[in-house]
Amino acid sequence: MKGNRFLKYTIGHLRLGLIALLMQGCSSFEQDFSLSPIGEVKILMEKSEYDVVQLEKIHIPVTITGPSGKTGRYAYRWKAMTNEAVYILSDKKDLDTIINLPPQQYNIQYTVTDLDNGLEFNKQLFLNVNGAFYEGWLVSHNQGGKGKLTFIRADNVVFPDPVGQANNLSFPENLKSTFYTQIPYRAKYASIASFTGTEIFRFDPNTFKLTGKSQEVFMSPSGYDGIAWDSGLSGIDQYFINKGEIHVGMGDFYPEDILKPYTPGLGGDYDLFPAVISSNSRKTFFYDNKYKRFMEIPYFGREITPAANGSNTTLNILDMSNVGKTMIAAEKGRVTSSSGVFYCVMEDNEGRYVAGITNTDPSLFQKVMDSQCPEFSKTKLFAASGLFQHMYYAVGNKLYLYNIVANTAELLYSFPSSYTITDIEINRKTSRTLAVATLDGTSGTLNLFDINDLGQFVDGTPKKVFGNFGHIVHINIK
Amino acid sequence: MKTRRYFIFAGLLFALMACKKQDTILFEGEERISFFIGEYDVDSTSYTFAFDPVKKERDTIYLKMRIQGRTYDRARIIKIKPGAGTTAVLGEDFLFPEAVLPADSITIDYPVVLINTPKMETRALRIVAEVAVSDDFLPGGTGQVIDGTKAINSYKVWVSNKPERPVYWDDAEYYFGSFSATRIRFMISVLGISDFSYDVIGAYGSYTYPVILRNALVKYEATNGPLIDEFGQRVTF
Repeated sequence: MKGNRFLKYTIGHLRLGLIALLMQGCSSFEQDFSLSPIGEVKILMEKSEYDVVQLEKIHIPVTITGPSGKTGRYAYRWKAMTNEAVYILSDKKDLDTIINLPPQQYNIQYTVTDLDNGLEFNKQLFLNVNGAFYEGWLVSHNQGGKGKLTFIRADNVVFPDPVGQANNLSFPENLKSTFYTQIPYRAKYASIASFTGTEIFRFDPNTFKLTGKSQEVFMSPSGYDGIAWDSGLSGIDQYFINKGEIHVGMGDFYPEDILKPYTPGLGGDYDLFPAVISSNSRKTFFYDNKYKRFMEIPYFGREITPAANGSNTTLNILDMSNVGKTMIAAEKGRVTSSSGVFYCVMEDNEGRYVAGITNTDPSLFQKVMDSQCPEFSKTKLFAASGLFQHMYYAVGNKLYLYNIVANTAELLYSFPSSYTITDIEINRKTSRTLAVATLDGTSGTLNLFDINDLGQFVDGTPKKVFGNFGHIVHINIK
Repeated sequence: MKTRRYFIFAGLLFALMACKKQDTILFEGEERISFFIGEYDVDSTSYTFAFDPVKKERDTIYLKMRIQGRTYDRARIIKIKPGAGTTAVLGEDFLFPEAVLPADSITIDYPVVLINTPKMETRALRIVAEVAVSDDFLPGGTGQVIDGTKAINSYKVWVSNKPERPVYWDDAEYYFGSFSATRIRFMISVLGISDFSYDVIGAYGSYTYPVILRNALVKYEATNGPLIDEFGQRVTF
């Protein structure tokens, strides 16, 4: 009986509790949906991306617009960020400071804090910090038996002797060539390499400081001639051709080994033309002028072998394993990250030819007649466009445009008859500028021609002319 | 009313139980030590004096050891003894020096001194290293631990002066070709090193040394003809 009574009490209390909860649940809840402005601050800048040269001053003015009628009290912060680090640049409204960050692209976060209410307002932008030598032409020239390397920056600022300035060094003999050696996406391990007949000088590309000579670059150096450098298309290996022999360096998979010495020559019975034909990401082609055939090295490979003779489809264009002609030039045309086209100028007793190698196969082979392409048979100076199926070639004082599809050429420009063109190089990044070196007696000149949509020179004349060079023997672009 | 009292009593009882102090389990037991190997390692290795560029009378290999128990702020003595199956002679073919585990240390590389004796030229000798009782340690427990490494109390070392296939050659074969004593002797004579494991020569050596060897072989063959190994195969790189 007592148990029943307890149960009765309990149920009664539970009922009361339930009713109380229901009443509470049904009561109205006072909510305020009225809005009041919080005083949004607007941040205005001229651009969303800025460029600056390392160690130079940058000025980014900012316009701050507060809520109407309010004179705000604000704090400011400029923050530069990468995946690895964060740098505080300034706590002033406008950025007006010398940038001493390492060269690379930064995400900039500009923060305005309203000191009255603590609200923060942000603006994102990009800042590209370039080294003083961020982009430009490397001009190797000689005078009085001594070489000199001049750098012409993309904004046309000339550094007559950055090597001498950075190292108190002058080349002891004539230069043969200079290359900017960068594996794709591995700018940190890039370098600039200058060759004389007996020595190589390797420089840091951002400062031109000397980082190594022959012993640090090649295992058994024995003089330099007929030089070519490039990485394979995928960047897995680096290739250096010297005196007809091929040397291989480590690449993208082992970045810490990129600057270690190249292998000795791979050995074998061949005499390579100085060209790295990186038209395919899995293997790289070369050309043997001894047996007049293409050779190939697969990625990570350390042996060079004759190229396969292609498929039946391409054999009727060209048998890469048995070409039978001497290579005169090999120029890189349009390239993507997975394949590219190279145009190879070849000759035999019958005349000259242009062969196209696209990816792993021949794509073009045609005889080039001087009647259609004036003086084509007389030169070794060629430069192919990365945009159009065009090649520029130079003979004496004349510059021609060769239309590969039409197999015809036109004269684009003639320098005065006392001038001789000594080298030509196209800006591979844009294919919109052709650099042309000339020699008049002992005085060298570098001419930059802008290229229009037809492949011809804008205004028919050089856009920029730089003088005071010796005999320019090689142009390369960084 | 009694029922309510029961509930109150039970509640108090639970409350008292909840307040009971929990015992913390701390390590209690003897101090122990064992060898340890990686998850995929085997409990033996081999060593040969045959490939040293300069003839060695002695060499030392190191076995990894780890304590089981607490660290101490004083150095402790480790003793190793030859185990069953040892065919080499302690003091003649090898030494097990008394080692000292430094204060506050957990691991140590224990040195096994190998002595190059004439009988090793004809046969490989086996050394079984076993953890012995010392003033400071007992042999440890065995088995796999959380990090994947395995604790063992005996480790076998095969020592000889015969040209035997190094354990790392499975990896080296891709770069240097199939193993033969002739091949590795040529490699040693050209490069001046005897350990071609990836850990030692890295990617750079793996891709670069074969070119050096191939060029050296061309010179060798120009004078001596093809280099034929003990299996009758021509050595190439």
